[in-house]
Amino acid sequence: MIGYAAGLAKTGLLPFVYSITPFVTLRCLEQIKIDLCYNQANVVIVGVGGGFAYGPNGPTHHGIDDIGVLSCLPQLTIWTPSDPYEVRLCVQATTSLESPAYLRLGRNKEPHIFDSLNESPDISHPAMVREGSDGVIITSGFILHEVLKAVELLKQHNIHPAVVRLTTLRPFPAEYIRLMIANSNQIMTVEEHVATGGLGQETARIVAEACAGTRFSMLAIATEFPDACYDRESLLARSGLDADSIAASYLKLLAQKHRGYA
Amino acid sequence: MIASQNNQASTNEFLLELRRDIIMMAANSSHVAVALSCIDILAALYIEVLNITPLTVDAPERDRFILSKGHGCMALYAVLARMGFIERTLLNSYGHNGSVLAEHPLAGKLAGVECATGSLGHGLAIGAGMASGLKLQGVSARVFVLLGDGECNEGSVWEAAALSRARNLDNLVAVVDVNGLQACGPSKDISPGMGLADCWKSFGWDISEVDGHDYRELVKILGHAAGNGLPKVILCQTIKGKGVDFMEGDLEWHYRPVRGDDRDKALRRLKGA
Repeated sequence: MIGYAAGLAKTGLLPFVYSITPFVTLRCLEQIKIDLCYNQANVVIVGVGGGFAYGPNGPTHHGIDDIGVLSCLPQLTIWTPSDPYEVRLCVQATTSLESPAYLRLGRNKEPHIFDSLNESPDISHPAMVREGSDGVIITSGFILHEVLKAVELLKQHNIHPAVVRLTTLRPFPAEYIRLMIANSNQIMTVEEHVATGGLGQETARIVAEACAGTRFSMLAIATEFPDACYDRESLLARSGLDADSIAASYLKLLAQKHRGYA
Repeated sequence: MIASQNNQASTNEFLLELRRDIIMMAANSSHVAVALSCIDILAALYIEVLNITPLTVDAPERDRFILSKGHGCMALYAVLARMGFIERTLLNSYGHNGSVLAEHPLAGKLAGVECATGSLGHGLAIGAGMASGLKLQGVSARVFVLLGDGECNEGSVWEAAALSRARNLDNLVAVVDVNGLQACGPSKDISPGMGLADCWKSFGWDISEVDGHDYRELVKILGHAAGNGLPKVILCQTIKGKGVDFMEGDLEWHYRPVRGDDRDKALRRLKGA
């Protein structure tokens, strides 16, 4: 399938390859690496059901390791839109692609977030979705909705973190994150993905390199297979990624005392 | 003669019960028609062919079964429950939070499920490895792998097919549920010109064909070991959604859950009403 799309692309077409996330990423990883990335074939890989969207279907259908694995590959743009509006913007952006891309979708009925904004978000650049004065939560993809719910919960504690969403995850907007560290004492990342190779690890590296004493916390999915059948909502809760858990983790981060440098 | 008629009647009743279980399970999930197309094959295997019981699920000499088309798992769960491998009440939890009955078989959670499946094209290679491993250890057990005809579009199926022939795995049986209808349309439209029988033949397999809803024929052909040094494939001609007329051959029921009026109607149609 990927090789075929590469061939189509080599004739000047822009193919879209679509399937459930794992079947269009991990299953055909080497084809993506060689046929698309190395051979420079502009193909858009579209994975439906990123994260835990296919919950009760079990681990064969979960898409929680796609970004980490694909991030090892040079040349590949990775988009993780946060709502249906951003999906449309990503699809529009495919017309100016100069390399292959991966578009990570939810499953359906993801809530609209950006439709209510006056300005059209720029997907190529991180965006401040909520202004705030108590640190920053950085997130990516449809889990943004849970983060916004968590921010509402935090308001009740008079805590007002800013929320930043990344739609283009690769190439990673390192400069933007560096600036953010300079202006913030605490940062938390939230992703519907395992920690390895994801948003949090990438951010953590920049935090560590900055040596600015920023409090940092990373919320991600544990690297393990679930013990039973669960829907997305339950899997998020079990992973500490529902709104309640996100809010609780943020409070914990704020309560952390600086140990300083010995 | 009378005895065998009674036998036939009780088999039919049993198959009906299995279909009823499947319909009850399908309230919130896809793939009801998939399970209905392969249920007779699974029943024939577990009732009369496989050398495995709830007491021998870990016995080294047991026959192995792999549901490579993991999305047909409602059929497997129904059979495992009726045969005493799992509690029948467990079926009520299918697809629910905390249940071990996920919408594709989980790994290591159920007696009688040898491996997790759900991503197509994995089962035959695992089955070939098992068949080879058994042979190497002098165990005469057989390995059965149930594939879909749509699944045969996966290239990995044919890599395993070639290897199995090269290793003379005559203890390996591939059973193909040829319902002619895959996730996105009829197989004849998706892969026109691909003759499944010719494919398996050209890979050097012993091939036979059977009506996949004729229980007696299934038992006969599944139970017959080729013994000719060749891996064996049985192409079972089936009808997707078999047993519920309004589901038969209708792609909609690859996806649509069975609820409310649909469920009542389906249960009535099973009884021939």
